[in-house]
Amino acid sequence: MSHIQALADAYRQGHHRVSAEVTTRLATIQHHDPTIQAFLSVQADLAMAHAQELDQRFQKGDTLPLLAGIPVAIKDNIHIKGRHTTCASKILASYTAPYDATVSGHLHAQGAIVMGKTNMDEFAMGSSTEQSAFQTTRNPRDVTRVPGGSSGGSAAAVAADMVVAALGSDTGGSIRQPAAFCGVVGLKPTYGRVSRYGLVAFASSLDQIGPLTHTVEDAAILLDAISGFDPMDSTSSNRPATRCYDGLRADIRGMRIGVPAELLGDTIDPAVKESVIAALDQLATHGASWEPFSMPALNAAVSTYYIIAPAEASSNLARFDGVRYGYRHPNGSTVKDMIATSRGHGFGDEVKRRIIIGTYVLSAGYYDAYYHQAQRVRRAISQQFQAAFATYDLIVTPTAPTTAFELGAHDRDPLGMYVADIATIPVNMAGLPAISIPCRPAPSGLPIGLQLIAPAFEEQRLLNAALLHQTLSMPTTQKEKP
Amino acid sequence: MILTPQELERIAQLAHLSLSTDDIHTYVPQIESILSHMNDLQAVVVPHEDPSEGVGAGIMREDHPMTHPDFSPQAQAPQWEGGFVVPRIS
Repeated sequence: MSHIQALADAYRQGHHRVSAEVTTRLATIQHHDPTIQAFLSVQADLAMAHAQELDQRFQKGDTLPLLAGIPVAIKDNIHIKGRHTTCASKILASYTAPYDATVSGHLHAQGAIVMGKTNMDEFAMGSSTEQSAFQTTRNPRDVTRVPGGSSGGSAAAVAADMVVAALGSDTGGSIRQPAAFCGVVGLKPTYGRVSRYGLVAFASSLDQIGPLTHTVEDAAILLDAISGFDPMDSTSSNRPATRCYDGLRADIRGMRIGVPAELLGDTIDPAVKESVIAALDQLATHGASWEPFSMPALNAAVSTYYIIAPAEASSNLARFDGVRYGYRHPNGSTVKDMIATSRGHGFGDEVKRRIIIGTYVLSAGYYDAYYHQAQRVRRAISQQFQAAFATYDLIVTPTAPTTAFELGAHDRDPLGMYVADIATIPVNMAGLPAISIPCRPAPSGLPIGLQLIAPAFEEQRLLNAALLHQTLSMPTTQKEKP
Repeated sequence: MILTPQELERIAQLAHLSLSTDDIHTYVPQIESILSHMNDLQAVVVPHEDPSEGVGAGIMREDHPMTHPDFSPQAQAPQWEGGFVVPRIS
């Protein structure tokens, strides 16, 4: 059942107070966050003041939106006016956002209580949240392991019950992979469905904001809250927004599911593979059918992504020069020198590595061989998805090839970390919606994520199938939406 | 060998990044192995056409604002206190 709906009902019926809920969540943060380190900042006073104001309105009998009084967290690359947006980078350590991101405005308008901003890999570049300039977030399921990334702080905050829901951003799997590692639900909407205005850009053609929640119903509620056309984002879709929560039905009868054979091969951990196949077989007993098929372009997806994303990042991050924003190094005999030194000291290792790769693949002599070819392969990936959706209603894969790895496991092996994004990256390349939901855990007890992919703007189909899987997986705790 | 320390320094200069000698020695083998991995792209046979056209391009391009009946840059512009005056260029 929806945690958000249950809380909203309790507030409305006078069984529970928003201030009591916020007090409990703050106590959980105080108790667990010194170990988990999910938050970069917590606004306890603001959250309590907002909670008390909402309590008064509930007592007066005001009709408030579903999200009123729901404690949420926001990844620290999404602006909230007047609060720090650090992107977990030294270069933006003291930067204060001058305006609200569109998604922050939506949450505020609907009464959600923002408890704080969550940790992330610096500028969303990483898959473990170890690349933050400030702290390393740990996985609440096993604190010796990473929570995934780059939205690891948001996933950990939800998994540890510090908040009911959180927003993250997904450029190559940064919502879905941490959701899989932490055992929560993570939804990456269709490119253009949610405004990127106020999201600090990493790779503009791939970035998308989405929710991390405990349940599929909550993901639908958050998606409805943040979706819609925004004239401030030129890539925002002008399709009329649909209400996914109202349309939720745990039903996939007659659906055809395709499973790319390339993502069930030897690179996938046997425990992950078994769990995914068990989930598919379970769906098949409820009216769906599944079969493997081939998408050869997936083999080149990682290389394509790690050309296109750094190329866009090297351009987007050119603005951080010590002149207009943030950190400025005190030394430097000329302006050019000051800029290079500020960037050299202000950015962390992974960000510098990607800026160099991006600059390299865009530079004269390499552009055609790398960037132009990557754009062609990206198009081939899109076409192969389109062809697959002519046959299948959904595509299902593991979210990640393994369960959460140990802290420091990829410290000296960035390529090893990159290739682990194989299942999530193609979705961003094609601009499609996808969701990661927990499936049967590994024998070690660590969570495993099942990724469902749908055609563009078919989030409803995605959520309905995910809801059925959730209902079948947790029959004692999950039931149909009231 | 795809990347030499000298080439890496040249690229870093283009990117306005100062790197220490230690940085350069760390990055050269790492970036070289990443670029070597990316060479597998050359083997992928794809249609020889402009990637900026066709499938998906419509929703992925930033340089073509979406058209919408309500979209008007002037109407959406921030409201400035006391009005906004375009500076005259003499």
